[in-house]
Amino acid sequence: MIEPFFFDEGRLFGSYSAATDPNSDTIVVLCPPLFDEYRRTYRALSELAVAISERGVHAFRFDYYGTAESWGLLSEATIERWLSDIEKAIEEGLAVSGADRVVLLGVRFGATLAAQSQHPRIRNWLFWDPVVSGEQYLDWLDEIDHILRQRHQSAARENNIRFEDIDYHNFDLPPALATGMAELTIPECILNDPERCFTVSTDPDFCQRSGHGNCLYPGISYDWPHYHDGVITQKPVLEALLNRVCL
Amino acid sequence: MIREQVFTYGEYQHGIGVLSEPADTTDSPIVVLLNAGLSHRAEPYRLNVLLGRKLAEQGFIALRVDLSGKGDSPARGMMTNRESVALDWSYIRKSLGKLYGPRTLLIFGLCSGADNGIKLCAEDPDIKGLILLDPVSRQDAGFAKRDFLRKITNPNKWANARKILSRRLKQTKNGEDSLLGSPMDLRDEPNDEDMDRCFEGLLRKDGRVLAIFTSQALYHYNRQGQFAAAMGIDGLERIVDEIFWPNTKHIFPIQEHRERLIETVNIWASNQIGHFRTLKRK
Repeated sequence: MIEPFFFDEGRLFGSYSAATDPNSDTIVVLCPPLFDEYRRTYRALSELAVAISERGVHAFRFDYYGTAESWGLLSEATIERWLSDIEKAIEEGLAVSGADRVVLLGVRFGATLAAQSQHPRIRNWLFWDPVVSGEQYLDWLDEIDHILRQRHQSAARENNIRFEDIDYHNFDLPPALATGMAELTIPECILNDPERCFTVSTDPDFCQRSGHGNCLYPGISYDWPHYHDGVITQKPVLEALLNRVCL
Repeated sequence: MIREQVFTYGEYQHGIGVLSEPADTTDSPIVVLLNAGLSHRAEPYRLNVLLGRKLAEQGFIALRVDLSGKGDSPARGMMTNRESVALDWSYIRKSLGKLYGPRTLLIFGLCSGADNGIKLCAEDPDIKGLILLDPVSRQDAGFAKRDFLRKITNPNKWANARKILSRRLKQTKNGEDSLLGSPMDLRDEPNDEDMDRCFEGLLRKDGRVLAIFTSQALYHYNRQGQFAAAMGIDGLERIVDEIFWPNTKHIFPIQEHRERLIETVNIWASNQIGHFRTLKRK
């Protein structure tokens, strides 16, 4: 069961899924990925939140300012604002559920943002394909723009129509936001803390490369920067996250 | 200033949407923005959110809604897509009726959203407007000739003729043609009867249609004006505005294309809102 509502005086949009266990003292706050990755993962995260609640743990999803259902435009967004949105979402989740412990579940750049939070109620971080370097992420976004330009170019050629020479940006990032994103990384002390952090990565080399024991490859790979029109429904990933939440 | 609130519908109010409302909702027509394919109600790329808010600024009530099995709305079992969409629509109408009473309704839909919009319009007399992105279009008499000319004059095809021919032969040999022949094959399109009932009905009701076609539609649409003309309904051109953007991709992944789309729909809606308000009173 999903209870959607606006919070932060109507500026942010959230969806709460109450735990089937009324005595649950934990809430999972999901920090979603950004841009095209949010479109691809929306249904998966919606189903994951419901599954978490059905296993007896509260779940709360939200949209950062200027994204999805929350108020504002992307051109008005800043990293400071998004980090503050996470704090507000944690407070809202705690208030609505009555829980007193938080698991912060971050997906892609949502993990990068989640890793910055120092909210005292956070007990654990759970990451799905975390973006370890903001700078690298911006390169990936550039790659998507490049792929989109190429696809429009080849479609124009294929369809025998004039190519439209415009900026082929999936999203126009305001410069201040891009700078803020580039500066973020996931601190090694969080990523490598087996007591407090666990990572599920669809990059088969990530766990070995990072040398972290608190990391799982679910047996299925996913190439995030490779742009496509579809949506993600990766059951093994969702099961791995769910099992970790409900340990 | 507009405001927003959560909208629910269905047997257990589990179907979820978000309403954008103008300050004064008296006489506001309602635009329902349906899911595009498997995407959730805000998508693609937040298009439905930004467009819904713009329409509310114009004086429309805009509802972006997840149909069953999409976004945040749970799936229904044991039903065809058509049955499930029709049942969703009856509950959405009921919830809207409770909030606002009888209103003129419009549907906005991309891809399968356009397909669903046409099917619903065929059945619901209160739907008097459609904003369709890449709807199904009948082919007019000149379609095949224009398509042939476009292909035969394509220097890219000639330069790569050998490669293209060998790929085609390989596909045919592997039996891939039936699956890959056209992306339209994957859609639950409205049938001829739906199309006739919807557009004959809209003409009778003095409704209005904005139909926008992208490169995806080249399989069945290649001339601005083809849609209304090929329907074969006298006078349909009068109520249909058509736009053809062959450089644009189906789900508008480019921000500049989305901005152009929002501006185009906004201008059309602003020109038509007075007419839709009049229709309500008729």
